[in-house]
Amino acid sequence: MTGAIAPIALLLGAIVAAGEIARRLRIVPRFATLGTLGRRAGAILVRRGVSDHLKERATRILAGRMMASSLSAGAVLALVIAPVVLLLLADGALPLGVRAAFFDWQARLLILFVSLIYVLARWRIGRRRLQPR
Amino acid sequence: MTPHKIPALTGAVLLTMIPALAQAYSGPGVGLGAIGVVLGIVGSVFLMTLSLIWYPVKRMVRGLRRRPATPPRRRDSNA
Repeated sequence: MTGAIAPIALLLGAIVAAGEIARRLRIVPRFATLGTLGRRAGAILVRRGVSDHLKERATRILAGRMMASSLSAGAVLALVIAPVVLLLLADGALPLGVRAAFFDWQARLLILFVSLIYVLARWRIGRRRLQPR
Repeated sequence: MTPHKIPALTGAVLLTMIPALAQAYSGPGVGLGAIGVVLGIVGSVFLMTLSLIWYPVKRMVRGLRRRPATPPRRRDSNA
């Protein structure tokens, strides 16, 4: 390992922040909505017994919704990865050693284990909150 | 493309294959997410093309086929 624990802690903090942003902004349902819209559009296009006029209107509405959904999902994705990207960019200006930790396999292994522990703990806490009292 | 640009372009493409210089790693989550966003944008453009070009053109072609090529002649009632 590179020795310094501070860059690893910074990376872990950025990863935790990214995870929390992903949870708060509900990134997974946005992509599920995008998939649902795509499936619905495909079903409308292959459906028989529907007039072309109705198909034209439906595809126009679905195209707008799909574009809005794609752009919002992309924006949320950019927000989610922002902490890690900003940290790596800041490392270019100030030598924090984050990039060295990011490409060091031992540091990555440590980050992987701690991140998995965090995800499991967060998942358990989330499940406990969801249960009715 | 001029001939001297081809080696330069080839060199640029080969340079992007050196990960130590590119440092452009994206994880599977972000990668799949980006692919999903791009597919969504492409799909919406495709749907918009269908609704703005394909169906109106189809309607127009159908209308042209239904319309007779020459207008029917009027019968002269005195004849």
